[in-house]
Amino acid sequence: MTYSFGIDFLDRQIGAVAPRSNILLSGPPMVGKGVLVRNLFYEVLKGGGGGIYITTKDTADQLKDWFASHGMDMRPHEDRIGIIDSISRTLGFSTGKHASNVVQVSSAVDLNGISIGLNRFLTRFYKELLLKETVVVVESLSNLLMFSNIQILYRFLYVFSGRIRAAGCVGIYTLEEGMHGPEVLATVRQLCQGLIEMKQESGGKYIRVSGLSASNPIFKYAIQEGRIMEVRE
Amino acid sequence: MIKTGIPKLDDYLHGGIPKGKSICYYTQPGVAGEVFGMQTLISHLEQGGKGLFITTTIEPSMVREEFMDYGWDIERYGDRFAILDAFSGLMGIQSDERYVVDDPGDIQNLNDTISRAIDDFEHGGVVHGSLSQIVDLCGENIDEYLKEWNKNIMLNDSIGIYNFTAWPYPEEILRKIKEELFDCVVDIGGVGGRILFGQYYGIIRANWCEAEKRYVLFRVTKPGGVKVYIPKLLVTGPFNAGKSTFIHSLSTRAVSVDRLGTTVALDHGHVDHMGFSVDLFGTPGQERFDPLLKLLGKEAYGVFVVIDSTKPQDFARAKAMLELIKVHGLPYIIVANKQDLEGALSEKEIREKMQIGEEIKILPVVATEKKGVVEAFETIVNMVVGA
Repeated sequence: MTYSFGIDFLDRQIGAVAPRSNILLSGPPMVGKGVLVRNLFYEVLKGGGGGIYITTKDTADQLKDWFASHGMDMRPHEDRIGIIDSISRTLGFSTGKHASNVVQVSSAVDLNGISIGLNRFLTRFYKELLLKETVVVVESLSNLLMFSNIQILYRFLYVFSGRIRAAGCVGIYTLEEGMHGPEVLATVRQLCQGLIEMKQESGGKYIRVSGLSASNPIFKYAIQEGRIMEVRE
Repeated sequence: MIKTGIPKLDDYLHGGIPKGKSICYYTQPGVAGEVFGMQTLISHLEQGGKGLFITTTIEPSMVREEFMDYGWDIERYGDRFAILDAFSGLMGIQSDERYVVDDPGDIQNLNDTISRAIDDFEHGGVVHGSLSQIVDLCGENIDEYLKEWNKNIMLNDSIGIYNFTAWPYPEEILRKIKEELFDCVVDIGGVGGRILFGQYYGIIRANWCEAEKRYVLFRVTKPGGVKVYIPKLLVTGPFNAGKSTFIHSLSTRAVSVDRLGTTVALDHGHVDHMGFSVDLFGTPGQERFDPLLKLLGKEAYGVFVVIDSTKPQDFARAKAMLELIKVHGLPYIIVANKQDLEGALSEKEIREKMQIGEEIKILPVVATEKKGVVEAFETIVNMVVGA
């Protein structure tokens, strides 16, 4: 049982991600971290797996709209999706009514609410739907850190990433580079088995992968219509 | 005495919580324990008391919605109920609540408001929605403030109710919470193996009575709140491995549906041990009953896979049954039965023949003599509650 990104060059080089992995995805703003995790999320759903998305940036509705507007039809997978929305209430968008596959927590402060939401979806996916694989996306840790310090976040992630491993899922966490001191990256890094770095340099955009395969491949990429594409030089 | 309103808990606490005392609901992360504080508060309001809810992690409107979702209309208590808002200040938003903490990260600011509210709510129930959030916001040295709040609770003939999420704080903090700072501590945890699929509570300590040390499995329903229920353990294994005998030797009462000496329908037993009250369900071993195994697996909390230690030729069938169970993510152990018979394989030999790793527990058992059956039960219960 492995998880593929649905991105040829990544899957070819990494050979897909093993279950029980936690991956940190780091990069500066606007480099496409959200696109990469959403590609992975969609691929797992398309393959019959489950997807749990903890969103601190977009509301659940905005997230669904993004997938729809980029040609990724989520409707056939609705019962295998769980969205934990920590932003709607903060922004005052919530009407109190939402889809059954959405859990709204009060804000990014409510880390236990996020953990409870995760357990609720995992129980449903594994006990009722008998799914074999689930990807869990946290977008982004940086927004959680706006409300909590690194010590609080570490305690949360220690428990959260442990639950991901115990359940045999893959967890992927985005972190904004440049927003935090090096101790934040180091602290989160030690809870993860893999690191994906996305960088913007003068020659283009690059992805570097560490810890997920024997080599540490580097790729040049571009984003086209919500998809990460390899750029061959 | 104030009733908590939590099923069975008042019985185990000899009637409830005496006035002037404090209770801490000590909850594992990811487990929905906050309902305990809410249900206790509602119970107090229903008994004619006053109630204060201190929120630090969710906005007051969401607190009210949560109460409503459980079917508890807090508006009907009028001025007897109030929210102390120590959340909005964190988010920089205005609050219309009766008590507002402008800077919840400032322990002095928080303490002043909480102390004032405790005094106003004489003979009341005071719920801290998340004590762990106060620890996170104000630092780990809040002992003195807690002692002060509890002293005021005692002087005012109120009760202090604390929800605490046991994140991996330093051991000393967790020890003080469990052993020193409260009159009563109730442990609330998750049940499961690969995934958490249930919850339990049990009293760690209470200084006003000899509280019963029992664990109770519960579900949280909306509406309704905490509901106790009896869990199921599944007993399965190849044909003639001794499943029925195992159930009968472990149970205080049991029935089997037999034809020509073998089980053709369900075995059922019931066992009370370690503070747990558990139903055992046995399935016939023949392959045609595998759909039954799938069906029962959805409702079970753990599985005993009983094998005949003298019949390695049946181990492949046992392993196939393990695969069926694994799909459900349930904790399981192998009960190596008939250890008294000639030719019985040892645990090591069984492990080799079945090609299974050390992480899977194998318990030697002689079900006909009740040898090892209690140990097998204790092993799986500890796995289920994560002990």
